[in-house]
Amino acid sequence: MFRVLKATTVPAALALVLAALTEPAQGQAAKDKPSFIVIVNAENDTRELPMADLARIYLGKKTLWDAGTRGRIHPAMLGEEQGVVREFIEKDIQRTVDQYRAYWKHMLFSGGGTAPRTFRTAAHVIEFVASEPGAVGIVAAPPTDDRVKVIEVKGGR
Amino acid sequence: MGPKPDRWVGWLVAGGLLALGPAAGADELLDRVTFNGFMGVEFERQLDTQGFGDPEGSFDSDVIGIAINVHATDRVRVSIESDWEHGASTGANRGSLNLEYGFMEYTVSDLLKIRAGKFLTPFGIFNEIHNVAYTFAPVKLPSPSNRTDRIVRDAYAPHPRWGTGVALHGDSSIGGRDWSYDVLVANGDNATVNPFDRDENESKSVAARVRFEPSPHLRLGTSFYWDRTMQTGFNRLVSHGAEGDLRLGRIQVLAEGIFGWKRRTTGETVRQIAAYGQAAYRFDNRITPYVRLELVDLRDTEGDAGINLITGANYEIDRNLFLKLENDHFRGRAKNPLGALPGGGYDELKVALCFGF
Repeated sequence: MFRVLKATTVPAALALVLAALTEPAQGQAAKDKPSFIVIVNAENDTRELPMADLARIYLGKKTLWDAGTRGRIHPAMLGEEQGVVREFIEKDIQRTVDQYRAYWKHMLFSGGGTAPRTFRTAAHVIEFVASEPGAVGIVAAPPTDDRVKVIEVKGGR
Repeated sequence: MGPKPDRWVGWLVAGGLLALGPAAGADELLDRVTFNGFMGVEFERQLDTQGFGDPEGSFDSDVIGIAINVHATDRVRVSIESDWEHGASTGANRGSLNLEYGFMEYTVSDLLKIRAGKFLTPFGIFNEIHNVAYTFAPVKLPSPSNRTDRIVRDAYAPHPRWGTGVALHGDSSIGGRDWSYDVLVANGDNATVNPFDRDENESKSVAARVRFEPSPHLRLGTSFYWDRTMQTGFNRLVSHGAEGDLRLGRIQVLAEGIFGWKRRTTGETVRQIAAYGQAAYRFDNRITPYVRLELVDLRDTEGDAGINLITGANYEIDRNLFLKLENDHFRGRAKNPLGALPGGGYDELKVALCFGF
């Protein structure tokens, strides 16, 4: 039995380690200021958010606002394949996009909650945040719509 | 008796929708309700002439599942998932329809979410994922987590798959490190009555799990289950589990160990240990090779241990559509029925096509 184990698991494990060493990890963090913009509804009292809290919001671990009504947070963002969102997932959530999707599949089907809403364009993200008082959104550029406001994100994860 | 299980879905959906209130417009309703689902079709064929697999080679309409979440208010959520398994046709031995879970949740804070209803037991990594195959790399769940009998015939499940009762869930962080907990107090397992409707004894089962993330790449956890079980011939079930989930770039390594005992009404105990380790690597071309080693051993029976070594790969054909191909290599020691087979076991080919939305 153990001969069989050695014959199959050792090469497989070596292949995995070699593959990891030869391909760059996607989650390598730079310490720069985020290139994305975080927006909330203009009625929201929140002015700034620690990066750790932002990551926890997009992982479904923080679901209520601390300030104001303490209502439910409705996270939204552009699709995961888009540059700023990919950067947020890889650098600040510290998962690959595939791992992030897998995380939410597990959460969803184990009854843990529903994933952030994703939209194809920044205009749709802004419209959603403008229409939902508890919403938070991630976009690439500051919006001109005064129904939403930009909040500062502080620190790293 | 309560309503039949297949009616629970209807009742819970209706309750959730009513909770939205008559003022909820169509747009608002759509914002608060989400529908998701999954399905899987499998083909299995035993590769050796003797074994306990499927020598004919069979297609299996494995599962179709629907999950519904209703965010009735900012703090009230109803979550339901129902599965049709093996081509459920309602006749005897023609598949099954299961309410996998259906519960109401009230969020007091992120640290305290109170839930009531039917749950998948919060124990280890996989029980709550059950048969949502597109969420994990191999074709099946690890046998050591719930189907230990696939490797050692007389082995027992370390906990019931489901429980009806009250649960708590919370998320928080300590020093910037995330942690979470789950507790479920339920009827436990019953021998003669529907455990989702009645209990046979005053003692309630307790399942608990704590998880801690020392880094964003590593999650560690421990689980516990206790039940005054009424299964024939037994009166106590105790299980402990330890789990790890490590992500290094594109590599994911999962490991879990479960040990515990079941006490007979005569006072003897049956001790069992089960474990698995799994590694997977996702390439840019969406191919993920994986390997998983599973082990089950009844500690009081010498020489009955068994393993299953799974090697395979999956390919994400399109987003959330996976084709999986693997070999399951079952082997057992002398007192394990697997060990009595020529070569000490058998191999089985498994192919699966699974999708989620």
